[in-house]
Amino acid sequence: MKKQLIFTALLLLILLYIIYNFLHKEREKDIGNIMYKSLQMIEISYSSVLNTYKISAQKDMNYLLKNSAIMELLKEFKYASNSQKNLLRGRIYRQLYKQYNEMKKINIRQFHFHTHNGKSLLRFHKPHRSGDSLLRIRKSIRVANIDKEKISGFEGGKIYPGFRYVFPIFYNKEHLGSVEFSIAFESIEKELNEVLPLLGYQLIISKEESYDKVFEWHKDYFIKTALLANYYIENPKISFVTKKLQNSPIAKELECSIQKHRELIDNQIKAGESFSIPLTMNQRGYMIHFLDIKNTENIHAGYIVAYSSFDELIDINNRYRVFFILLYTGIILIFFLTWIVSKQFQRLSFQTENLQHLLNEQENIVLLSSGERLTYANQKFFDFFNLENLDDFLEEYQCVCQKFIEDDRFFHLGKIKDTRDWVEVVRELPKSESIVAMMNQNQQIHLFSLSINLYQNDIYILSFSDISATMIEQMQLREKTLHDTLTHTYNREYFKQNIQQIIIDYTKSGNRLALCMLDIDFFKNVNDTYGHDIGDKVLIELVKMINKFSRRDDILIRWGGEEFIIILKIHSLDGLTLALENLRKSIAKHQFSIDKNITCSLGGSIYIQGETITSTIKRADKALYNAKDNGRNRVVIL
Amino acid sequence: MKRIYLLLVALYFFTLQAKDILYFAPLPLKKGVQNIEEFLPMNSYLKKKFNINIAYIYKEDYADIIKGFKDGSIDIAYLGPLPYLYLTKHYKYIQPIVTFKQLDGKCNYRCVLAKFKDDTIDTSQSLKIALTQPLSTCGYYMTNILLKKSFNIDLSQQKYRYTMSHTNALLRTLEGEFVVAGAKDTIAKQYESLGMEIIAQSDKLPGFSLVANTQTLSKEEIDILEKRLLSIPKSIYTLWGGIPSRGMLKASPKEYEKFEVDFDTIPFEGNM
Repeated sequence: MKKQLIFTALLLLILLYIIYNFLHKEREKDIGNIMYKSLQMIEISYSSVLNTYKISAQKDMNYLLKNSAIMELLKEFKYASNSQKNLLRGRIYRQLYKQYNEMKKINIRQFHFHTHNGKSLLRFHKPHRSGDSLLRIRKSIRVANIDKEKISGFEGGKIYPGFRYVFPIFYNKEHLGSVEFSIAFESIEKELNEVLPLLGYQLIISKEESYDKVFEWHKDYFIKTALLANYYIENPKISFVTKKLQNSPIAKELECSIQKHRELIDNQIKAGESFSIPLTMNQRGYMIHFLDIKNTENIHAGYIVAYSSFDELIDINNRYRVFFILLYTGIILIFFLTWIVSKQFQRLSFQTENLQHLLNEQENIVLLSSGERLTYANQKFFDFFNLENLDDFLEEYQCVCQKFIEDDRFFHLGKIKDTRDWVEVVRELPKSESIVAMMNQNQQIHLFSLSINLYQNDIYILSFSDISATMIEQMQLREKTLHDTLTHTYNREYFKQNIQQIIIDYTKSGNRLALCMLDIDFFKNVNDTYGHDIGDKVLIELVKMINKFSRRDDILIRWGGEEFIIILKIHSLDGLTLALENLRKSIAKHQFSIDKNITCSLGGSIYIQGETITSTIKRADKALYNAKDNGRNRVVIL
Repeated sequence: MKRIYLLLVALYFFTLQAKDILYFAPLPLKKGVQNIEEFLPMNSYLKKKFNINIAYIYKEDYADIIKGFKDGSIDIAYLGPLPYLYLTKHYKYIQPIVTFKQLDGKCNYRCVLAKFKDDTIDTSQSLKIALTQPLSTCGYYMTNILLKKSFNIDLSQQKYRYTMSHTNALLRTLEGEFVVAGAKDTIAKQYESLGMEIIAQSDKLPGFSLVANTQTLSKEEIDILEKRLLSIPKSIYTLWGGIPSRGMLKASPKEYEKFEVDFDTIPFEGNM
C-alpha cells in the first residue's frame, strides 16, 4: 500500500514535470512566434529604410556623374600636385556643399570622396580632415577602388560608423576614385521610428567595427554598452539616440533586467543571428530585439537593438499558468479517482476471486444463466463435463438443459408440454421432482437435485447438487421395503403402494386384473418335520418355481407366512383358470429339495370395475378357503 | 624619507574630496557637439584616471556663459582672451587655470583673416565678412583691427555677419558666401587643405584657457584640477586630437592685463 502510494506520487510528479515542460515549451513557442513576427517587422522596416537610402544615394550618384564640372575637377585632382590638390578640394567643396546640405536634410551624415588609391579626398562632414588612407580598414573603399564596383552595407570608419553606399567614379571610362554616402544610425533610427514606432532603437557595434577602427583621438566617440560585453555605442555626449535612450527610464530598466538572461544572450550571440528576448517588468511585457547587422565583409558588426512593448506576454504567461493549474488539478483529481477506482477494483477483484474460489470449492455444480444462455460455470461444471472453459461448452450447447437425460423418473425437456421456459417449469416443481440426470465424461449417469434461484433481473443461479449416491441408497431402501427379505418377492407394502396404478395400467391397456391367493398345503408339517430353516428354503424354492412357470407380466407377492398373491393380467376367466391350473400342476410336479412333493391351493378372483381391491382380495381369499376345504391342491375361482 | 613625504603628499591630493560633477561650458557654438568632440578624450581621461566627472553646459553665446558663471551653473569654461576680459568686467570670481598649447608648443595664438584662393578682394565695393561671435577675440574686435591694418578697410563699413564659430566663418567663406573670414590661426590653417589662404594675421594673443568659477569651486579643488590637468603625460594627450592634444600650461592672469578692449565699440549683431 505504501509502495503503491509512493509509486503513484512519483508517477504524478513525473507526469507533472512532463506537463510543465510541455506547457513551458508551448509557451516559449507562442512567445517565440510573436517575437519572430515582431522581429520580422523590424527587419522589413530596416530593409525598407536602407533601400530608400540606397535609391537616394544612387540618385545623388547619378547627379554627380552628370555633373561634368565635378568630374573634371576630380580628374584634375587625380593628377595634381599636393598644393594644387588643396585648391581643387576647396573647389569641389564649393561646387557641392549645397547638395550636401540637401543630403543632410534627408539624414545623410557623410558625403565623402576618395582618391583612386583609397585615400580620403574630401569629407563634407569634416572637410579639414583628408589625406588619410582608408584602404586597410574599409572594405568598401577596396571594392570601389580596386575591384571598381559599387558596394553598400554597414561599416566602421575612422570617425563615424555608418550605413554606407560607395560608388566607384568613372569619367570617360577613367577611374577617378569613389564617393560615399553614409547614413548615421541616428537617421536610420529616425526613419524606423516613423515606419515602425517602438519604445526605442539603439545601435550597438562590435569592438572590432567601432573602437578598433576609429582614429585614436576619436576613440571616446564610443563607450561600452551595458547590454552586451564587447559591444560599443556612440557616446551619448555626441549621439542623440544614445542620449535619448539613456534618459529613458524604461530602456534603462530593461537593460538591467536583461542581465538576468545573460546566458541565453551569450548563446544567441554565438548562433550569430538576430534574436529577441522577452522580459516582464512591473507587470508589463517587453521585447528586446537584436537585429543582426553585417558589415560590408558580411561579418557580424553589431545589432540594432529595438525595445518594444509585449503586453501579450503577460496574457500568455497568465494563460499558461491557468492551463497548468487546471491540468495540475485535473491530474490530481484523475489520480485520486483512479486510486479510488483501483482500490474498489482491487476489493471487487478480491471478492470475485474469493467468490470464484468459494464456488469452485462447492460440491455442487453452480451456473449463472441469463435466460437459456449460460454466463458462468464453476470448476465442478468443467470437471464434470471435462471442459476447459465455458466457451467450449457453448460451442456445442446453448443450455445446460440440453444435457438432461430423457428419463421419466427425472425432469427433462420432454416433460415440458407448453412453450414455457424450462427454468420457470423447474422452479415450480416440488423439490422432490427437481431432479435431473446428466452423463459425465466417463459416460456415468449422475442425478442432481436442481435448485434455481433468481439472482438479479433475469439472471438465475442454477445449483446442481449431486444426489446420485443418495438416490441409489433411497432406491435400495425402497426396494427393501417393497420386497420380502426371504424370498425377494414383492411384499404387502408393494401391493399396497402399487395396486391402484396397476389397476389403472391394466384397464388402460384393455386387460383385466385378476388376483390369485396361493397357499402351500400342509406347510406346517414341513416346518414341524424339517424345521423352519428348511421351511424357508422350501418357500424360496417355491418362489423360484412360480417365477419360472408364471407369465412375464405376473406379479408375485408374499402375503404372509406360506401365503402368496399373484397379480395377473388376463383377458377372460378361462385364461385365468388355465394359467392357475398350469401353475398348480407345475408346482405339484416339482421335486423339492426336501425330497418331497408339495402342493398348493389357489383361489382366484377377477377385479370388477368399481369395487375395492379389498373386495377382490376377499373373494380370492374365500376361493382359497374353498379350495382348501375341497381337498387342497386345486384351483377355485370366485 | 623624501620619497615617503612625496607619496604622502600625492595621497593627500588623490584622496582629497573634489566636487562630484564639474559643469563645463565649452566655446559657445550653435553645434555643441563639435565642441564636445574636441574635449571628449580629455574629459574621459579625467574621469577614468581621477574620477573627475565633467558635465557639459551648452551655451550659444558668451553672454549666456557669463550669466551661467553668475548664477553658479558653470564651474569651468573654455574661453578666449576677449571673453575672459569681458567676463572679468562683469564677474570678478573667476580664475584662469590652464591655457592650451598651439601647434608650435606655445599657448599664444593669432587671429587671422582667411579667404578662398579663387576669390579676390575688391575694395571698390563693400566686402562680405564672416565673423565668429561678438565676444570672440577673433570676431569683430580682431577682424576689424586686421582689416584696417592690412587692407585699410573699416569693418563697420562692410557687410558682416556672426556665424557663431571659427569653423563656420571659414566654411561659409569657403562656400563663397563671404569673401573674408576672421578666425583663429590654428583653425584657419586646417582649412588650407581646402584652398583657404591666410591673408593677414595678428600679433600673438594670450591663449584660450580653462577658467574656473571661484564661487562654485574651492581653492583646493581648483588647485587639484590644475595639477591633474598639468600632470597628464604627453604620450596621452597627443593621442586625443582636438584642442587639448598639444598640451597645457599654467595660465597667468597677467597675460590678459595688457589687453585693452573697448567693448562698447563691438556690435552684438551683424549687418547682413
